[in-house]
Amino acid sequence: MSEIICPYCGSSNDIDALTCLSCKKPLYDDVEVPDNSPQQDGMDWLNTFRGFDTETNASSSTAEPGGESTDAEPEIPEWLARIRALKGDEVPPLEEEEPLPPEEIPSLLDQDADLPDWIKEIKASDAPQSSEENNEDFPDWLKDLSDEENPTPEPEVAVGSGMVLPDIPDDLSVDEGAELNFDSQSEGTGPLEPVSLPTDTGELPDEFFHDVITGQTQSAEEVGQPDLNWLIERADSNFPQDEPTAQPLDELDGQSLPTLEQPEPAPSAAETEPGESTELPEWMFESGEPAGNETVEPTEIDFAPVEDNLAGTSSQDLITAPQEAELPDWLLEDEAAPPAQSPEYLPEAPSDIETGQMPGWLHAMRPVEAAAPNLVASKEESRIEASGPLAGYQGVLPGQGVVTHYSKPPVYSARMQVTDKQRIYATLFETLIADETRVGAPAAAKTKSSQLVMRLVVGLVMLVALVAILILQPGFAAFPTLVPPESVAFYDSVQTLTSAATPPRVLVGLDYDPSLSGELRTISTSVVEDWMAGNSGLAFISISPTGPALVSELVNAAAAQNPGYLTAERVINLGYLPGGASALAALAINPTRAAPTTMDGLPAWESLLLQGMTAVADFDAILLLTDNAENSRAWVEQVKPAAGDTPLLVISSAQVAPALQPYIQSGQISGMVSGFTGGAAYEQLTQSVNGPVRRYWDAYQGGMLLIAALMLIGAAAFGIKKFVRRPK
Amino acid sequence: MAPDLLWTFIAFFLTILVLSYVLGDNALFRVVMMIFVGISAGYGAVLLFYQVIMPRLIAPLMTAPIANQPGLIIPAALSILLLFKLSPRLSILGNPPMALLTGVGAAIAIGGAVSGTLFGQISGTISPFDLSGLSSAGSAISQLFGGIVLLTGTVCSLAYFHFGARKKGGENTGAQPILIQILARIGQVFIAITLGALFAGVLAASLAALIERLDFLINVLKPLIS
Amino acid sequence: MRAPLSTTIAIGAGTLTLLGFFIPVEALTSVRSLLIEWAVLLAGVAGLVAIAHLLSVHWRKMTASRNRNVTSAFLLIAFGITFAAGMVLKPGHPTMQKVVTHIQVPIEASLMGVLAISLTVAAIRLFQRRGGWMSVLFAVSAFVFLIIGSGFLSSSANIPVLKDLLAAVNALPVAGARGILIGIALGSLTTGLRVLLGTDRPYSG
Repeated sequence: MSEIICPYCGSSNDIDALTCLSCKKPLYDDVEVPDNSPQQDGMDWLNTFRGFDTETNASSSTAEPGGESTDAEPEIPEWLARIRALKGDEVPPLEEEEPLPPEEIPSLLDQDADLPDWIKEIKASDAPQSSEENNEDFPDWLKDLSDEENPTPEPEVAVGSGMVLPDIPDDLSVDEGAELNFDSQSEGTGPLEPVSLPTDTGELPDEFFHDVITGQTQSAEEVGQPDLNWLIERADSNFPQDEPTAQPLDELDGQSLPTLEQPEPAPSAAETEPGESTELPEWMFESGEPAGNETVEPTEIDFAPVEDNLAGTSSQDLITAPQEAELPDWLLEDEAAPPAQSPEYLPEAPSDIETGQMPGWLHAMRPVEAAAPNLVASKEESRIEASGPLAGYQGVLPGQGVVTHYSKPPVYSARMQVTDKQRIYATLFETLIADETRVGAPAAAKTKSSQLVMRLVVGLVMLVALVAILILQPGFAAFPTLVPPESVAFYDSVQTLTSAATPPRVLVGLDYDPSLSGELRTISTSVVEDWMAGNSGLAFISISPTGPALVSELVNAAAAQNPGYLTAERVINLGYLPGGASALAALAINPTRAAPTTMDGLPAWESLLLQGMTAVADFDAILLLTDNAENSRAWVEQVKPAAGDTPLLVISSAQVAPALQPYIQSGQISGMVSGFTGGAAYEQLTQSVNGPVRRYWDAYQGGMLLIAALMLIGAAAFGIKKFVRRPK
Repeated sequence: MAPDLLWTFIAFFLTILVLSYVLGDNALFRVVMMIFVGISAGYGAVLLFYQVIMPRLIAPLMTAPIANQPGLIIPAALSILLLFKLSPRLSILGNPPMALLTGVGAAIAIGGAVSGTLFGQISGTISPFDLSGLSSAGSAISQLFGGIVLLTGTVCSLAYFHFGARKKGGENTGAQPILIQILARIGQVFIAITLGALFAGVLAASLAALIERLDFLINVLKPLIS
Repeated sequence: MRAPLSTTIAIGAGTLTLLGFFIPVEALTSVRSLLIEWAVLLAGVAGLVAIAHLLSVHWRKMTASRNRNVTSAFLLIAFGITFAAGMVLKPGHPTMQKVVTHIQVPIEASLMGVLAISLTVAAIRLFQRRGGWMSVLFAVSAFVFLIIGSGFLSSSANIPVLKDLLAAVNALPVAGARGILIGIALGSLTTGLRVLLGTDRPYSG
């Protein structure tokens, strides 16, 4: 057989070994050696209570001191009763509670070929650590507990109680346990639970440990002397003969093993982690001959009775919760006394130790899966292949059982490692979330629906009111008599220019979007009509892409009121200038180069209207139609300085009027008409009877007042609502 | 059907579909929006081609070889480089024309801000204190009071903006002096009033647009009903 | 230095443009004029690039294997028809102008009308969530200027102090707007200077 040399101590190890038999160090870099320190042991096995403590609680909490295990019979949970009912008859289909990751499951082939490492390590193990050594590794609170329970440390080496129970690795599931020949009855196997070997025990409350410890101590007292022949036989047959065995138990005399390690029941030999075997007590090896170095042939292991022994158990079931206060019945009912358990080595279990009591909160925390374990667990794992190349091997085709069995799917949540504190936090968080979703979702929906309703109501009210006013034209709104000064200035400029002897030439910057074309076209129409009435030449230019198309709409609307105006001669469309402020700067520097052609592609500055003009200042006026504050500012900043004394007149949307007011006050804008109000003022100044603004004036004023009224109502309603709610 | 009538009905239904948004978002509204964007992009592309690219680039190149027009080489090259912005991998080639756009735009913004707004608005702020042209004391007092209000509002609004440098981490350099804080508080009042006026202006403009659209619908439906 | 060529171009072009603005020398003004014309041309090309990018995005959305956006097809079809018609008819054609006046105008103006309703709802709910004094001031200001903007008070010229009152009220937003305008101008100044000094390089992305 191949062998591998330990890189640390140089000793020879089996090719399948992961750790060195001699120095216990990993043979490979990526292999983690199980931490066998007593502290870890003590912590981890306690952790196994979390989540599946309830079954054991039934026996441990009700067991009377000194009582027999049978006293707890009425407390046996249902699943255990079912196991007992099935004893020796029919093996219930086992369902794997939680499939271990493939990398954690040692190959059965390997197991058949060689003994597991933990067994190999048994032969190389030293004497069990003394309690002092163990205590050194325990945290202080555990030491305190230990001291409280055993003020005077006494050797409590007993079956199931004297061992330092190690971590039980995941790979020691039913398969490895099944390799052991359990001659004794499987009936009465204590409540066993899936074991997930947590490493964090810091979250468990102290009272929990206290209960566990006391209960386990009690169990040691109750157990009596279970049958450990199977262990002895195993030691006889499998362990190397010449291997220095563990320290004789009598050498431990005077040494006290920590109480914490005692409660682990004996059958957990099947559960013990390989590395933990080094701490098996000497009695396990007393009757065995020293084994040689050669490994044990797998054929020496009797697989035959495995299924019977494991009836009703799963891989997790094999691992007894250390909280259990009594040994399994199959150990108790065995007639043979444990040979290694001589009376003098029996622990002097203190009789005054209180019975372990499972706290109520812990009882309530048991997972449902723990109360109703899936007994259909690992039958497929214990099946021995009868044919094919894998004949004789056990559980190599676990999928077959999964396929053929009709059982509940495995519940993985039972293995979730959740500490008590985490569980409490999770519950608290869940409550918070539940409250949030319960309260928030309807509130959000209510808010959304109320907004929709309000929007519908407001929209319908406005639409109905405006349509009614537009159709009926009630004429309730009077035209403004108080005219803003900028509108007066605008009007004066237009009148001055149009009344001049020479028809003015006006550069019109059409800079509004289609969205507000309704407002601006309505306002501008009257103004453009006046310009046309004065036979003004209008050169339109736009820095908005849709501007050139809107020019024709405006010109056509204004020209309709001036049939004698020669639009083709007096109006020119210079088109679109891209680039915003840059385009306006180019226009201000040299309009002939900035806009050389008309929309039709004709040379603009050779036309009769623009002939001889080379600068913006050559125009008699600049009229800006705008709905954009940014572009308006660009016109003022770029074009107005180049225009000199040429007045800059603005027709603006109501939305930019406040932003342009400073330019009016500073004189950079000579006059402005803004919004329907400005348009109405202009029409009032021009004494226009049928102006476009007048047509909309009722609807506009009515709509504005309606909005103001709705705003007032809203403010009052929400103000009252807040005032009423405030006392709460 | 006359073309004008067809266009009118198109406008009518588009108006109805968009106004249906009052009842809530719907698929037709979204389709209309897509059509609107597509048409706007199409019209804009045509306009740019015929109003910018054609007269400024293609037409000059067609009239004479580019070798004879050195002033066109650079913008033509920059225009071609700008097209590389469409490719994520080659977009770096489009940086030089973008740099030219940015540099020129920055210079134009500086010049406009200084000469157009800063000088103009500062002079507009102090102009009410020039009482030389006024005839009566009453109007002088009124103008002076208005000037004080304007000056106070302008200064305080500027104080509210807090033109200060920031540290690298984005933190402020520190608390403002108490005087600036007081001025900023007053400026907050002016800015709130200004924003309220702007909000009312936006409401007025949108209401005007709604009225114009409703009037259009009524005008379309009126002949059909009557 | 990151993007040295682009930075040089930006600083050089900007500096020359700015010098041409403040120094009335023929050479500088000519260079300035030339640079601005180039900028206008490049702005047009940039607009075309932006449209092409928009189309490519919607093409990808339409042809995506997952989360396909079918409505993008409407955009592409509308673009194709408009662009083809425009290239044939040219933008000055009455039909092309009707595309704007009978399609774009109704849609955009109707959207603005919907905005009126939405803003009204927002105005009604102004006091629902916020109750600070700035909100109150804003709401009061909006309410007052709604009344003023309606022209309801302007038709009452007979009321003695109304004219002076309206003038005083209208002067209040002027002060704030002037502060905002000067602030924007100062911001533009500093931002432009940062670009010209090479501190900000928004073009090197």
